[in-house]
Amino acid sequence: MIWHIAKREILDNLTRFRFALTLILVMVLMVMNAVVFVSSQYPRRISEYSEDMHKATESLKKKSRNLGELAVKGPGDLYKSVSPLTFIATGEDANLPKRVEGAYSGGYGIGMTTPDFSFDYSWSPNWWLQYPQDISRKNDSLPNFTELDWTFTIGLVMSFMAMLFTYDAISGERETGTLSLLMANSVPRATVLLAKFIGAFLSIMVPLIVGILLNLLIVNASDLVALDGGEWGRVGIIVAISALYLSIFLWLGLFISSQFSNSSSCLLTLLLIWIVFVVLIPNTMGVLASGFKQVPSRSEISRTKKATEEEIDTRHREGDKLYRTGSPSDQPPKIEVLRLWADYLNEHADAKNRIEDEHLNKQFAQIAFTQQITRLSPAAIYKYAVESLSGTGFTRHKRFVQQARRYRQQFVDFIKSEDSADSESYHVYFVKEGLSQKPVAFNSIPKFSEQLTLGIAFEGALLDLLLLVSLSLLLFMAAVLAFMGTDVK
Amino acid sequence: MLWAIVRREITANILSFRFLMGLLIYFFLIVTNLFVLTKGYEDRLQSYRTAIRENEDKISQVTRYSEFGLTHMLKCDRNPKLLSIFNEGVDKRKGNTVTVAHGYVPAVAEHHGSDNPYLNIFSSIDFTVICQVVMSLLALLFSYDAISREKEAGTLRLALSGVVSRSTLLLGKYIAGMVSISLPLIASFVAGLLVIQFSPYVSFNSSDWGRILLIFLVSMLYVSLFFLIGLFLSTRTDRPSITLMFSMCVWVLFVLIVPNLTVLLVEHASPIQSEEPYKEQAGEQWKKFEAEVKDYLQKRGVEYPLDRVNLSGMGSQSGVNDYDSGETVSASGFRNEEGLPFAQECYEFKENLRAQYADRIWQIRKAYLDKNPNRQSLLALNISRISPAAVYYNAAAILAETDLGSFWRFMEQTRQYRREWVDYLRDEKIFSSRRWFTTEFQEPFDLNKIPRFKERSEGIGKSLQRATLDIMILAVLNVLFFMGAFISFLRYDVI
Repeated sequence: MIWHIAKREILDNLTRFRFALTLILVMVLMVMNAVVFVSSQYPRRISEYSEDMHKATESLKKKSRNLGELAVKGPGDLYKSVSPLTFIATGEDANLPKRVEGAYSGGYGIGMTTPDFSFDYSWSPNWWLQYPQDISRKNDSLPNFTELDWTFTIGLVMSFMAMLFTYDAISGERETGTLSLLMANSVPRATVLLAKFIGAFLSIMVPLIVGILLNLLIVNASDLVALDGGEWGRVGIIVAISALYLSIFLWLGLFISSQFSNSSSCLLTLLLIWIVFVVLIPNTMGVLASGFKQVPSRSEISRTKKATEEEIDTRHREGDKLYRTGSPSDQPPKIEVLRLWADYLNEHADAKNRIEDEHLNKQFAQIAFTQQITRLSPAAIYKYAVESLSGTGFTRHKRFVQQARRYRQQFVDFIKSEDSADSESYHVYFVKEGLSQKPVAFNSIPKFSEQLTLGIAFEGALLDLLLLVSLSLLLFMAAVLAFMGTDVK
Repeated sequence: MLWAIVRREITANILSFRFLMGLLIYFFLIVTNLFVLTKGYEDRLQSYRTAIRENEDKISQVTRYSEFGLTHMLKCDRNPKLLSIFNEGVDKRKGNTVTVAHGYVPAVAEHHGSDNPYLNIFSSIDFTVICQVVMSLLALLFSYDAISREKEAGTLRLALSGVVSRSTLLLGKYIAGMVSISLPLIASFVAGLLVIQFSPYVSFNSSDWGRILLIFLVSMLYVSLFFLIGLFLSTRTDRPSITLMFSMCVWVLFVLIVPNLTVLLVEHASPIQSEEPYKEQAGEQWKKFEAEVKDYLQKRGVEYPLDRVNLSGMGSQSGVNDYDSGETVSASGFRNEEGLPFAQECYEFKENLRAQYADRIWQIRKAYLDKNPNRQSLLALNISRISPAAVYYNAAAILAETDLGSFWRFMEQTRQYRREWVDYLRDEKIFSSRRWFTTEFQEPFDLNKIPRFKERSEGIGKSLQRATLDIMILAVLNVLFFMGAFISFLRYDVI
């Protein structure tokens, strides 16, 4: 019986104007997205990334001529690779930094002659991680525009269309009087509701699947993008999540539909709900949340940094103890001088690392907080889930930064292990003269690379996925209960 | 007779459920949005004030004039535009602080970093976007069945069988429809304005009120256009459902697709060239500058301006970035005071020359900006005028002073300010003063004497003049669609 009703619903839907409209709209948007992605967006970003990587590699090669220099100047800039699934969710990547900077600053020199001692040394501070706001989009004066990715087409357009598929499912039949006829048969109400859901669900899956297939076909046809097994797996999960997301709006439509006797009232009520939860909340919370959780400003941070550095300087230079015993550039250097200077330089680098990290963590906390609030909206939940799985957006960026920090440690460990192999080195970490002066095999330097396996991506999306599932269950129960108690006449 | 029709239509509309829902939707959207954007404005105002205060602090620490050349460059801050509450335009996206020095002509603005840049990943909407997207849709929903529904129901025949002429009926429907749309809009707009007024940071002056009124009127013009499009389509078909389909297609095309597509198209078809060659040109200019200075010093028989004073303490920082160059000198203790006038002469020559070179480099940079990002933006703006939604947004942005043109005006003012600053340095003979480089003066400057940047806002008449083209386009489209609806309704088969 359930299939009978569902079949009737599907046939009814297929002949309706809203079905044609959805199909055309989704197809147009999906094709446009794929064409733009393949022809301009992706090639441009890929070439920018490889240009950046090329520069970074060249500079690393230069530094690898001397282990001591490499240890002090660090690995250079770490770039975020471009996810091939950007067409699914651009994740505002254009507004997120494309790199983390392994920063080092130019040299300082001190020469002094006093009656007690003379000192001469030029050095540069040890490297530290810094987080510049370096975004890849070039022209910021272009008019605002929306990326026509899946999260837009499915999250915004199709969610609205899903409601159009069910808003009159019950109220429409009540209006025409066929509901009481249907109920006069020996069909349980739950069956009718479920059948109506299945009918609407299968009907909306048609434009979704057709659109996605077209999109993937175009993307796959270009030589640029070659998705591997893991990525196909992620696409599969994203499609499943999209179906789940649309079912939320179908259930919502059924729920509201059983509450009203007039289908145009249903539509307008649904429109109101949709505008509040899909349009208003994701688009306004960013501004509101910044008021709740304050982040220290850039200038405050530079003041803190300056004060900390001055404090370190005065402590180490007290009574000229940094200069009195000799210079690290003496031949041969004294071990205790090297230790003294290594402590001094390390402390500076640690302080800078710490301050920068803390500042970024605070900024990230504010963003995470804002995301929590926007999770009031199913569209935002869907967007975050899809972004995590596509390897774009804020979740990805956070992971990128975490991995960059891990790499910082890995790089330091590499320098230490490389240095311990050289018997001529003084093994004092990290002052240039205290380390091996031999060249490093470029290939043996660990390179920064991000790992994004299916497991990691899925883990990042898990919370949002659970939220979507529970929301869908909630609305399902609400719709069933509402329909049970509804008046069929 | 017209009024009878208008009254009937309005009553029918107001009693309808869609009117109630329209009211609720407007109310939710507009009031919440204005409230939220007022908060955002307050935040930006705070950070603007902090930036101004920090600048003043910084200036008050200066003891030598040459510090203005590199280490303590002057800043021009752009105050956040009050009407960005209604239209954000580029106000938030573009930078809001500009560095100025005699060796540097400003061309780009940076953000004074008191806000969290990662917040940019959250999209935001403003009043104009709400009108652009939601209200245009509602206007279509109000008008798509105006004629065809009456035909379907058979009442059109009845209405026209009396003395009522077709034009009267159409006009009546238009007026009534617009009144029913504007009522909830006005109500929520006024409520929103009240909410804004609660903010202690916001006070509108008469020009602001004028601008708000103009923005509102332009919004009405835009909404009316979509109402007329719906009306026109309604007179072209017999069945409301077909009208609805066409209306939706028109809406999706012009509101959703065209504005997005133009940007993508322009980015793709007319990309920005690399800036590197321009940077190289600028670098060569700076090399020429250094060579000229060296030449001059050699002719005078020294290697360095302060060589003849036989220094005992000296520090200097100099830097050449891509487009700017500057030097901050601090010299204390001269064993040969007689050499000082000579050093002063040298610095006068050097810094005057630096200012001249900075002007030349600005020309190079201007060429890049005009040929690349600015051209691209203008192109995108002009092409997007195919869509009334983009025309409307641009008009509202001009009226709110948040459009790109206003930003460019601000940049022009900062360059004007730099000229004033250079003139001041020359007129007061500061390049050749001892205080340029010696540390013997410890007392702070007379801060009142140093010219400060003050942004002059554009007069409302000027803004209106700039927005004329866009407003005209909207008005002409309105007239066209009304005529179209009128002509097509004259021939409409009422049976």
